[in-house]
Amino acid sequence: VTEPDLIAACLRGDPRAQRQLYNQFAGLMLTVCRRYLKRQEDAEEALLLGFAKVFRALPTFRQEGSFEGWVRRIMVNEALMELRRREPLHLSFEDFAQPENLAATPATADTQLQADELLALLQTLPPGYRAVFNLYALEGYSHLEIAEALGISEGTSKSQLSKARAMLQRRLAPQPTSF
Amino acid sequence: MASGNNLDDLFRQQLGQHATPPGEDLQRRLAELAEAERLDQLFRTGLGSHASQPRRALWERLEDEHLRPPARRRRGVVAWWQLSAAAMLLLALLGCGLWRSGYLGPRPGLATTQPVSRPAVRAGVRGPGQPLASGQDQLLVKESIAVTLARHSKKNQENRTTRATAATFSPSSPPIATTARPRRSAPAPLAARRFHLQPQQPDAATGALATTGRRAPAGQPQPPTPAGTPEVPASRSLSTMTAMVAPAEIIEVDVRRGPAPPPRPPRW
Repeated sequence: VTEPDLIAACLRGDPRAQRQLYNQFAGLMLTVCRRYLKRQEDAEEALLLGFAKVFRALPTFRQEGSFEGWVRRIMVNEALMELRRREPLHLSFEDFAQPENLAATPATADTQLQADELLALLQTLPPGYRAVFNLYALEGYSHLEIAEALGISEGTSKSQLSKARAMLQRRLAPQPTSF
Repeated sequence: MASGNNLDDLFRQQLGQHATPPGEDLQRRLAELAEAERLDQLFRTGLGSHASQPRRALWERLEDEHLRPPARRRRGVVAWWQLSAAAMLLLALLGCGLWRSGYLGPRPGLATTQPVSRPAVRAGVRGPGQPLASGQDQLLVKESIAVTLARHSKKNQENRTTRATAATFSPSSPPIATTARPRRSAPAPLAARRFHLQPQQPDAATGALATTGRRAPAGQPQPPTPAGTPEVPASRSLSTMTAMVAPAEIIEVDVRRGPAPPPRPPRW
């Protein structure tokens, strides 16, 4: 079944097509949500609400761009909303100076890092840093778009990205071996 | 002009292939950018196409909470209306059945029990020329009278101690069977009801055919009595009725028996 046919069947309310669409994107989108949210349950809640929005807004999809990109954008918005509900973003400003957030975590070589380890690393970031890093580095948003999405200034977005990277690099740095 | 060309050649020769080594600050910034890009690339490749397996219950929740509920609610509303329609139909059928059996409403030529004050009583009056009821209808009539009398008698026994009975008989009126409802028993002259029993009516207790009587004012001419019909004394009917029906309730029972209906002409 091609993607337009699948979308058309979903628009007709075909339950099998809806299930197929869900199966096709649920795993990918759950990872997207987990990048933003620390707890698995919150990520699943965002996924659930995101899919509900996808099926509700399906008639508005104009089939001009990538359908996966359209779904991903909905999921990112839903994850950010869930993030605001669960982990207030303003905490990130205060949390940055906390020593425990700056502590390096032991890590293997970059190439050997698995997805779950990367997710675990992301989840150690304060919510604001995590959101900015995800939006900029993985979603490709500009700082202007990030500022609009999070309700912050562009300068704050740049600053938080820089600090998020610094924290990640520190945690990825190989631990000095002591003899 | 020639000196200008020489100047250009000089700069081109000196700077064209010359590589200026970046300063330390610039080198550090470039290294940071490269490191940041490497970091972004690491996360992009590691998580960009990674799929986590959601729990199976998540799809069921999505279906139950977001995809199917409107349809279920619609089905529920439809079922509610269907149930209501079925109940109404059942009630209508039940009422129709009771009506046809003569229990609730007047039936031409048959007995009914009606409150005195209802004008519908007149609808049940059958003239002397109207046909007789069938045997089955007579049985139904007898049953309905017995049930009604028993019910009213029981109810009135309960009310007898608290409510006064206003059923009185005018001495100038013909023999009547009168009972008054408790709620209409206030002034005795007004509450007194006069009813004329048809002379040929048998007592309801005898099991004979009974029909609804008509309230008739005193002095109104009575319908003719068919010949050959045994005549029941009105006083007996009155005493029987008043004995069976409590005085606080008006139950009127007229029993008539008319002549046999003329045979119908055959329809061709």
